[in-house]
Amino acid sequence: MLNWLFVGMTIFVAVTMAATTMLPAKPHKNVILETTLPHEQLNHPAVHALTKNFRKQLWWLALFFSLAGLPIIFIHFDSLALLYFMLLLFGLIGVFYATEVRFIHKMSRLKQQHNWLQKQNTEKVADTQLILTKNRRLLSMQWFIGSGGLLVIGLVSNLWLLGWGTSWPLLLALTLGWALFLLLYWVIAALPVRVLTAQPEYDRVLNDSYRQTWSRQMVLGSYVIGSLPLIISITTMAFSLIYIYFIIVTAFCIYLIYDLIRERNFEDQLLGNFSPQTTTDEDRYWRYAMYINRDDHRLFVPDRVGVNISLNLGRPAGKLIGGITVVLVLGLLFSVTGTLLALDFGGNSIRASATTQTITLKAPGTTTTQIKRQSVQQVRLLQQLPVGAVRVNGIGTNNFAIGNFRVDKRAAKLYVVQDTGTVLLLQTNHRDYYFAAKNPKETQRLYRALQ
Amino acid sequence: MLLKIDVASTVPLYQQIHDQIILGLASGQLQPDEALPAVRQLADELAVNMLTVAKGYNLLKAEGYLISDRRQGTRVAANFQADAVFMQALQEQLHQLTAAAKIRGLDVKDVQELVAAQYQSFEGE
Repeated sequence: MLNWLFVGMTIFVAVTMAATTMLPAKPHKNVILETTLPHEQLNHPAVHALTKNFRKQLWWLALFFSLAGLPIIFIHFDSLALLYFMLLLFGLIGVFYATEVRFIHKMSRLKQQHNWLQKQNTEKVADTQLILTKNRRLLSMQWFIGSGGLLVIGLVSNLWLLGWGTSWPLLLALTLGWALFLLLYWVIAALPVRVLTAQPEYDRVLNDSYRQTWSRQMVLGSYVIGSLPLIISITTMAFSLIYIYFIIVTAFCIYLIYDLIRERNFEDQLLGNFSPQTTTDEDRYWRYAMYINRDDHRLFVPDRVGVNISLNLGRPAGKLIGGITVVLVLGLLFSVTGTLLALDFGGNSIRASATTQTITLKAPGTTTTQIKRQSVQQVRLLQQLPVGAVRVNGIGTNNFAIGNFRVDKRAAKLYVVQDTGTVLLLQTNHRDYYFAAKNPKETQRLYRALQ
Repeated sequence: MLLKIDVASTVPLYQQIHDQIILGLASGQLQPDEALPAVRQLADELAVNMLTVAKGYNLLKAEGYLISDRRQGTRVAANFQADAVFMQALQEQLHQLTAAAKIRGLDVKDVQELVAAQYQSFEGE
C-alpha cells in the first residue's frame, strides 16, 4: 500500500512539477522565462521555438521520473522504499530546476543576441489615492481570530489527551505553520501599491483583486492548519476525521493553485493593452527564480511568474529564513528515513522490559512509555491488531504501526511489528497499549512475565 | 495623483516629492483638502527613507500647501493665498529667471508667451 502511495506521489509530483515549471514560459506582463523582453518581441518566432522546446523537455522529464518511480513497487522494506522515493524526489526537483536554469540562460542569450535590452527604470511611481485605500478589499484580519481560536482549542485538547511528550513536535509545527499564514497575510497587506497601467481605475481593480485573492488564501490556509489539532483530538476521543481532513487539505491545495493561476490570468487579460507601458527590467535582481536585491528593504516580494511570494535573499533575514527552512525540511526528511531504517535494519529495535513496578515499551520514532504495573487492568495476547486501527500520529505502514492510534474507539499507543502472529494488549484506564516485537517469542515471553 | 520620483536624478528626492505635489495641485490631479498618505506610508510605498518624505512634507507645510493633524493625518490645504511671503519668493525667483532670459536675448513678449503656455499646460491636464 505504502509503495503504491510512493509511486502515485512520484507521478503526481512529476506532473505537477512539469506543469508549474512551465508557467514561467507563458509571459506574465512582459517577463518570459525570467527574462524581461520588449512587449512586441514576446511573440517572436525564436521566443516561441524556445518556450515550445522547454515545455516538450519538461513533459519528457515528467514521463521519465514517473517511470523511474515504478520500481518502488518491488521494494520490500519501508525504509528503502522511502529512501528511493526521497532520492528520486531530490533528483526530480534538481533536474527540473536545472532545466529551467538552462532555458533561462538560453532566453537571456537570445535577448542579448537580438539586442532586446531594456532601459533600466529608475523611476518610482506611487498613486496617493490608491495608497490610502489599498487594503479595502483585503479580507479582515479578524478572520484569523476564528482559526487562532480553533488552533488554541485543538492544542489544549491535544495536550490534555496525548500529553506534552507526544504532542509537542506536531503542535509546534502547526503553530509555526499558522503563524506563517498570518505573517504572509501581513506581507500582502504591506506590499506597495502596484502602479502597473498608470490608469487609476485599472490599477485599483488589479490591486483590489490581488490583495483579495491572496488574503483569502492566507485566511483559508490558517483554518486548514488551525483545525488539525482539533481533528486529531476528535479522532482520538470519538471518531476518525483524518481521511475527511486529507480530502479538505487536497481540496484546499487544488483551490489555492486554481485561484492563484486565475488571478494571474485575470491580471494578464487586464494588462493586455498596457504592457508596453509597464516595462521594467528587473532581470539583474532575479537569479534563477530567486530574488536577490540588497537595496530593496522588503523581505517578501511578489514573484514575476505571478503565482508566488518570494523571499529577498539579498537581505540577511532572507538568507536566515531561507536557510532555516531548508534545514528544517531536510532534517524532517532525514529523521523520518533514519527512523524507518532503524526499524527495518536496527535488529531488536522494538522492545519491551518489565520490572516488578513498571513496564517499559520502546521503539524508534516515538516516545518511550513507562506503565505502572498496578495501573494495568487487563493483559491479553492477540493474534493480530484489531481491524480498523486509525493512526493519529506516528508511523503506519504495511510492516509497522508505531505511535498514537485509535483502536476499537479507544486511545491507543502502538509499538507493533505487523503480521508476526502475536500482539500483546495492555489495557489501562485511559489508554490501551499494543506491543509486538519482530520476534513473536519475545512478545510471548513478556506476556508470560506479566501473567 | 501619480507621484513620480527618479532615484537616479541629481535633484534630491525630497525636492522631487515637493515639486511633484505642487505640480499635481496646479494641474488639478490633486484637489484642495484631499488626503495624502502619511510619511511612513509614502516612504514604504516609494522604498525611500522616512526622513526624505518628512523633509519634503515639512517644506510643503511651511509653504502652506499641506496641513497635518493627528486626527485627520496629512491633507492638502483647503485654500491658498498669494500672501506677502509667497509674493516675495515668487518675485525673487522671477527676478533670477528674467535676468537669465534677458541675457539670452528673450524680450518681454517671449517671456509672457512662455508663462501663458505654462498656465495653459496646467489647465489642459
